Amino acid sequence: MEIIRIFVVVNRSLLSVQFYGEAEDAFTVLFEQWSDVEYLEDFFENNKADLQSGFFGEISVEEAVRVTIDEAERLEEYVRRLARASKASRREPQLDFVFKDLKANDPSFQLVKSKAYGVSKPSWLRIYAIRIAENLYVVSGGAIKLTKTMNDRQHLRDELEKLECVKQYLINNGLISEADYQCFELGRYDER
Amino acid sequence: MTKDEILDRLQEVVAEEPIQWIERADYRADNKKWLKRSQAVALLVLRTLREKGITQKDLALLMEVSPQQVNKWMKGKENFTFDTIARLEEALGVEIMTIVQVGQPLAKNWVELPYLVRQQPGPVRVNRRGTVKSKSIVMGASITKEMSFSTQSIHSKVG
Repeated sequence: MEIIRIFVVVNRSLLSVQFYGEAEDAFTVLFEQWSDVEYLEDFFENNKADLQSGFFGEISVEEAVRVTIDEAERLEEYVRRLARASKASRREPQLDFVFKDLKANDPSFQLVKSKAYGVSKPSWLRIYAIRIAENLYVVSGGAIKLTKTMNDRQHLRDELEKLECVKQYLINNGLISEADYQCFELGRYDER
Repeated sequence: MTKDEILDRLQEVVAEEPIQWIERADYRADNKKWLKRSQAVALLVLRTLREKGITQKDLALLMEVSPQQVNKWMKGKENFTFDTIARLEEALGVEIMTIVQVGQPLAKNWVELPYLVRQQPGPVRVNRRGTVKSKSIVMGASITKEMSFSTQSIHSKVG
């Protein structure tokens, strides 16, 4: 797994990597998938047991597809607003309120790996990123998370690998240093 | 390292061209209304194919189009023509689109709701509040009798 390019999603706040072999960057890919009915129907059909395990209540594949599309739309609109606002002014979006620690209490995680939740709770949409400075994140990927932990399913373990790859890339390019290695607590998601 | 120093370093590795996402996101937002309908059609067709055990390739043969064309439709990003809808209906033996006439009652197996409870993404959504289980219906939605068994209790609980 290799990173070939980085794109700006929101000025001075949000970036997204493109992996070798991928036609597009991770952030673009995510929202393409989350608006692709065939992809979603197939995903929920293949993960029907997790979907209907009761964690999210009674929900059919059809309903899950519709909920995901609507949720992704709201999340996308939120980031669009941030992107537009960041172009219009130098004021930085407060992404620290959107991203939450993946493993805040795990000392083995020197860099803080973070995830953004969908805009309504409970949500199964996740965007994974590494925080490299205050309100500055690099997106590695994302997922529909139907299980409690990331180690339970292969598509989530793949996301952990991508996070690790982004971390290495940032270190290799001198974009992060020891001083950036600090854990922090993030607030609950609050759309603003 | 300060944030500005990090941002300066990032300039060296960040692509000059804008991210593709922004153009796609603008398109999705500008075309949201018809895209919603396209997604609904794609979902209904996909579920029908699955239920009937028909592959997209079979459907392509039935409709005399390429498998790539069918696959493109199934993404829910196609601005379907009435002709395509009619041919899909014929090939699958299902009704995809119904135009409701003003002032005319809905088809006999549908239930018209006197008023609406709350906006939800799907036509019917099961809600849980503690031990109370209810359903809510999208504004303007028509639902089948099978889906509507608990509408009386919804109205009394929420409305």
